[in-house]
Amino acid sequence: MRHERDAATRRLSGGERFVLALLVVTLFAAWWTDIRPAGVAPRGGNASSGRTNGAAFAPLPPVSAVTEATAPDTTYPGAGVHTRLTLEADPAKVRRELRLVREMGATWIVEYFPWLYLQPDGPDTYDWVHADLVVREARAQGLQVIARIDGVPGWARPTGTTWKYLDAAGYPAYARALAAFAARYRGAVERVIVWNEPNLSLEWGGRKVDPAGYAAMLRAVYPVIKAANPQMEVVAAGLAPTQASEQSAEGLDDLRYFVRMYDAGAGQYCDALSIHAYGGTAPPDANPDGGNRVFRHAEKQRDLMVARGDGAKPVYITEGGWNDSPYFTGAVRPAERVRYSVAAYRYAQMNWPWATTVALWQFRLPEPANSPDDNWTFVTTDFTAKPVYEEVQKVLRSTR
Amino acid sequence: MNEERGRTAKTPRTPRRYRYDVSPLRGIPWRSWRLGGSSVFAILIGLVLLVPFVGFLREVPANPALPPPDRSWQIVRGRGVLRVGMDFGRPPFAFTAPDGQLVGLNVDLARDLAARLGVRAEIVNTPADGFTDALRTGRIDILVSTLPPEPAFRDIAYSAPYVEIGERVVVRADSPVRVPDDLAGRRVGAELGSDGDLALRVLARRLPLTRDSDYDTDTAALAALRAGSLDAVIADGIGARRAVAADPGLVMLPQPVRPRTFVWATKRSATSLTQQTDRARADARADGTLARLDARWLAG
Repeated sequence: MRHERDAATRRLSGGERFVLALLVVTLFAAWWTDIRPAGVAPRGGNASSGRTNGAAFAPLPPVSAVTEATAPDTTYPGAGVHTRLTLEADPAKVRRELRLVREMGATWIVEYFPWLYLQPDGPDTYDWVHADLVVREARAQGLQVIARIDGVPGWARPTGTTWKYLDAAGYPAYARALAAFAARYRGAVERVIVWNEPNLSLEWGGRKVDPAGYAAMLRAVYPVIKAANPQMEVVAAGLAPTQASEQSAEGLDDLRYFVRMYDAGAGQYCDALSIHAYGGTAPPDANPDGGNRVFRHAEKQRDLMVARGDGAKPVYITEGGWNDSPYFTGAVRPAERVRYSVAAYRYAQMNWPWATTVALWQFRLPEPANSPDDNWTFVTTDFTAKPVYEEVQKVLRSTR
Repeated sequence: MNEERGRTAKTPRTPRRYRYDVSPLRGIPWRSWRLGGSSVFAILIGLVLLVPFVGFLREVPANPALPPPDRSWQIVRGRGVLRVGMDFGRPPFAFTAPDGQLVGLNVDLARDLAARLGVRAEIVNTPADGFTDALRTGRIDILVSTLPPEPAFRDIAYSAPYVEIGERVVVRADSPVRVPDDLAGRRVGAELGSDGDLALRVLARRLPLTRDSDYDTDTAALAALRAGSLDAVIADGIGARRAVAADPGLVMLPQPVRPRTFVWATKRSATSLTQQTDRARADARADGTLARLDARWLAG
C-alpha cells in the first residue's frame, strides 16, 4: 500500500512529460488524419485550397490572373469541341487534353461542371478545386470556355428523386450556385448554360417535360447570375433532337418544346441559345426537312428564334457530330464520320454566321466506356489521335 | 463533488490527497478513479499502441490471409444454372438472328461453358455500361461479353483472353511480308477513320511506309490490294479474318498490329467459380472448341 501510494503521488519526471506530450500529439494527429468524423473537415478555406464558403463571390485571382495564351492557330475561329473533363482527376491529363484541343485548331470548349460536385456538402460551401483546374488550363491554352452547369446535389432535392430533378423550391439554391460560378470566373468564363436537354424526361428528373417550367427556371436564375456578374451570358439549354410526340413519356419534339418555352417567356431570360446538332446518318449538308437528327436541323431552331425577334442573340452549337460504332444503329461508317465532321465545320463556317461556335461531341473520355460512347471521341483515352482528329486538324490548322 | 460527499456520509473514509500538476490533465476528476500518474501514463501508452489498429479494423473486417469461405461454385451447382451476362447488341458476338434467336460467339461460348460445368446457361442481357455492376450485385455469375481487360477494377477477376481482335495486316499470298515491320518502304492502305486506319497511322510514325487511308470501306482497300496498287491493308481483326476466309489469294499476318483482346470476368471473391470457369476455358482451348467457334463467328 505504501508503495502504491508513493507511485500514485509522485510527480511525473521531465522525460515522462515529454513522452506524454508526444503521445498526445500523436493521438491528435491520428484522430485528425484518419478517425475524425467527416463533419470536422476544413471549411471556409481560401482561394488556394479551392474550398470557399457561400459568401465567396469574389473573382478567383489564380484563375483570372493566368495569362491567356494567344488564340489558337486556326482557319475557323468558331471551331470547338465538347470536352469530358468532369471525371479526369489528373491535372497533367487535363493539361494534355486541352493542349490537344488547341493543337487540333479548336478555339472553344464546352465543359460540364456538375452542380453536385461544386456543392456536394450543402448550400454554404463550394468545392472549386476541379473547376479551377479546368478553367485555368483552358485559359492557358487560349480556349474559350462555355460552362454547362446542372446535376442536383442530394441536399437540394427531395429524397427519392434523381440527380436531374429540381422543382421550383430548389431554383433559388441553383441560382446561387450559378451566380457563385459566374462571380468566381469573372473574366475567365463568359457563358454559362442553364440545364441540359430539358425536353427529355430523363434530364427533367423523370417527370413529364415542362417547357413553361424550364422558362420559370430561367426566370429564377437569370437576375441572380446577372447580379453576380453582369458580363456573364446566360445561355438557354440545348434541346435533344428527339421527335417524341405529345403523348410520349420520354420527352417532346425539340421544335415544339422550343416554341412553348418561348411562349412561356424563356426568351426574356437568356442572352443566347445553345443547340445540339447531331447528324445521325446523313451528311452535314443534308436537307433539314429530313428529320431532327440532321446537322442542319439547327437551322430550324434558329428560324424559330428569328421569328420571335431573337435573331440577334448568339447561338452556340454545344453538341453535335457523328458516331461510327458498328454496334450503334444510328451510326455511320468510320470514313463517313471523318468526312462529315470535317465538312460540318466547313459548312458552319460558310453558312452559319449566326453560330458563334460549333462544338462537336466529344473530345476524349477519361476511361474507355467499352460502348458506342467511345466512338464519338477525337482522341483515345491514352491520347492517341484518331484519324478524325488528324483530318479535322488538317483543315483547321493554317500552318502545320 | 456532491456524489463523493454523499458517499462519504454513508461510509466515512480517510481522505487521500493526490497531486496532479501535469497541466493538460488538470481538472479531470482522477480522484474518483483512484489512479495515479503512472497508471494514466501506462493507459495512454496502451491507447497509442492501439491507434494503428483502429484504421485496420475499420477497413479490413477480417484477416486478409483468411478470406471468408467462398460458396460461389456451390451456389451455382446447387442452382443448376450459370447466369452469364453479355450485351445482346454486339454482332457477331451476341445478336438476335432474323428468326428471333439469340446467337453469336459469346452465346455459344456461354452454352459450352455451362455444359462443361454440368449446369444450364441462363443468358442475361447486360449492357456495356452495366458490366461490372451486374457482377458486383450478383445479377450474373460471369460476364462473357466484349470486355477488354480492365485491371483498374480490383474486385473483378479477369480471365486470360478468349479472343484476339486486334488490327491485322492483310497481304497477297505471294507477299514477302511476314511481320508488321516488313511494311517499311511499302504502300499500305486502310479504310479512312477505321481502327485499321488508326493502327496504320500509329505504325507510320515509326516505319517509313506510304500511308493510303482514303478508302471509304475495307472492301475498297482490299480491292486495291488485289489489284496491286497496295502492298498491304490493315483491317480490324474480324474484317481481316473475313477477307482471307473469302479470298484464298489473301493471307493475314498472325501478329496483330495493335493487340486487342476480350476476356471473361467474375467477381474476385468468387474464387471457386473462377477456378471452375478457368478450367473449362482451358479445356475448350485444348480441344479446339475456341478455335472452331472463332472461325465460325468471326471469319464466317
